[in-house]
Amino acid sequence: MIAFIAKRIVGVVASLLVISLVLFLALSIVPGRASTAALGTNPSPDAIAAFEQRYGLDRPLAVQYFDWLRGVVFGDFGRSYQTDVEIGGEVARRFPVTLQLTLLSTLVALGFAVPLAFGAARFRRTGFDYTLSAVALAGLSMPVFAIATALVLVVSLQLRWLPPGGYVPFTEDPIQNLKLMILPALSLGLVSGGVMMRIFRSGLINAVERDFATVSLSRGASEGRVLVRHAARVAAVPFLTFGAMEISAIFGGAVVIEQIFQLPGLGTLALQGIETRDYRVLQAAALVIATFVMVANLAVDVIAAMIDPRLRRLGAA
Amino acid sequence: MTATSDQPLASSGFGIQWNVPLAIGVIGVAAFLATALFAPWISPYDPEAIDTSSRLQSFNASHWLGTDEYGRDTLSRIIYGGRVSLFVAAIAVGIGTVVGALVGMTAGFVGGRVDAVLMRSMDLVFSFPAILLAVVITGALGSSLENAMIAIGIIFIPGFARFARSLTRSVMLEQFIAYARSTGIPAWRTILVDVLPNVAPGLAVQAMVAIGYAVTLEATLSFLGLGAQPPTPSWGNMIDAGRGFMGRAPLMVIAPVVAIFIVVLSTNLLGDGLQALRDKRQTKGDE
Repeated sequence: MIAFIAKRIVGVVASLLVISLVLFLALSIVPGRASTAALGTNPSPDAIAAFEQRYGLDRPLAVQYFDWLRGVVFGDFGRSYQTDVEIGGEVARRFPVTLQLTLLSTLVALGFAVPLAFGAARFRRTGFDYTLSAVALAGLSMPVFAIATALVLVVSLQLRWLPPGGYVPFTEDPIQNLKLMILPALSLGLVSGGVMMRIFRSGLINAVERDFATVSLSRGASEGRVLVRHAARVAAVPFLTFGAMEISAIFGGAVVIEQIFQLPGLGTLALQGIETRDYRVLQAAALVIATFVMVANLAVDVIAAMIDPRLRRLGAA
Repeated sequence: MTATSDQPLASSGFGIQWNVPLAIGVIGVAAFLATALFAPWISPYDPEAIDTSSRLQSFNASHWLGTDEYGRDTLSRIIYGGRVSLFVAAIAVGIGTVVGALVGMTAGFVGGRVDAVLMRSMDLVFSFPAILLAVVITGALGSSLENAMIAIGIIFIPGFARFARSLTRSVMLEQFIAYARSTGIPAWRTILVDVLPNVAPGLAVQAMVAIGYAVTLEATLSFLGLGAQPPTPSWGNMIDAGRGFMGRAPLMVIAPVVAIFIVVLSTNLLGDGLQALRDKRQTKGDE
């Protein structure tokens, strides 16, 4: 197990190095130069030279990359071209917002997906099952931003139950914080919940129709018990491996959701970086989100390997 | 027998087993294609014609879906927006399919280290959140419809590459491939002449289904201001514009949301229906 985890960690670090290199190169050779974005449309050559010297942009790309990478390892992402603020501090301030949003969204998704999948599997191929599947398909057919906009329209503007956007840190006012997080987490969670429900439902049905389940049933175990105690364990592994893809979807969706609900997270930081052509900011936000997704995927893989030992051998091979 | 969530309605004369999801999907997708293609003839107004005397209207006889903050006809903008979506989605899926197929077939055919390197890099792209990837790419290239197509196309490459690779691997077991290789025909020729025709039908089905997801991504990018630029109508930028007027003219938001929903749901149903058909055919083949 330790060998398996170690091997996966090496893989994650290698992947992140490649991602950091690609991000750095892609955003270093972009058409609109950082200096023109920061200094206005018609800067003097002296001003450009001074700007590039100040941010070390006059050095060879390779030197710039390794310098940047060394800083990143210690949480130093350099300074913003636009505001001259330390990006590392900004990332640290915004990180908890994105973390809270994605965690709550995952909880919402699981909260819908797991019970509904059990219900659908228990009453499989009945009107109940078909209705649930249809609703799930309808849910996952909505882009996250459309669901969010629809929820704001109905829940905030028509019913006036919840505020349409804004952010208060949990440590300052927990109740207000959660009130502001409900709609964002619902918007993100509903789509992924639909996807997860479909995966878990088909896994459960597959498992409960296999021989071991039939044997259990013939011994007098109730169908619900077989589903929860036996089939769930078999269905958990494909659910985790395919469901893990939704982690990436939730983080991607967070970029949009933060923008809609004015949450000061990493997603809005990335978009802000694009708007002001502050590519160091965009680089930092994208790299941190990618790291996040990779670590979350690693955690899911480890859990799956704990449930099904065969995966350890596959992964370590 | 595999479990499918649908009951066959009837057998048509074409050897296709119709089912409810497939039927709804086909109708929905056909309607989308028709409105997009015939937009200039169907659309009641010019989608960019400003009429300040009829701003922010609700349903009425002359503007069925109301008007926006400039008095532009929402129905016409939806119809033309669909055209934009379809165009972007088709080009993007085209990019994804062609590049993905080339990568996947090469990896599957050559095998060994080339396969490992190609597929690892595909996994890497795949693990990056799609929307964030699109945001970074349009950030690097600049916000425009063309760059949105490229960004969305790149997102699709790894999926198609994986699929093409697995199809190629199964074609490789066929004797005619072994024959072609033994006679010293160059690899690129074998790939194009012998592998591609066997891989293409599967990829084509997958590409159909991908259109729905591409429409979602285009709408998302345009919503964020990274895709279609005003005044060009796009369902995404219509929703973004409508957010400021949700209290007075909720139709500005509701209409494009419903349009996206119908199109994506239709392509998903079509995909599900086709998948069910394939499963059925496979179980029949196994018997």
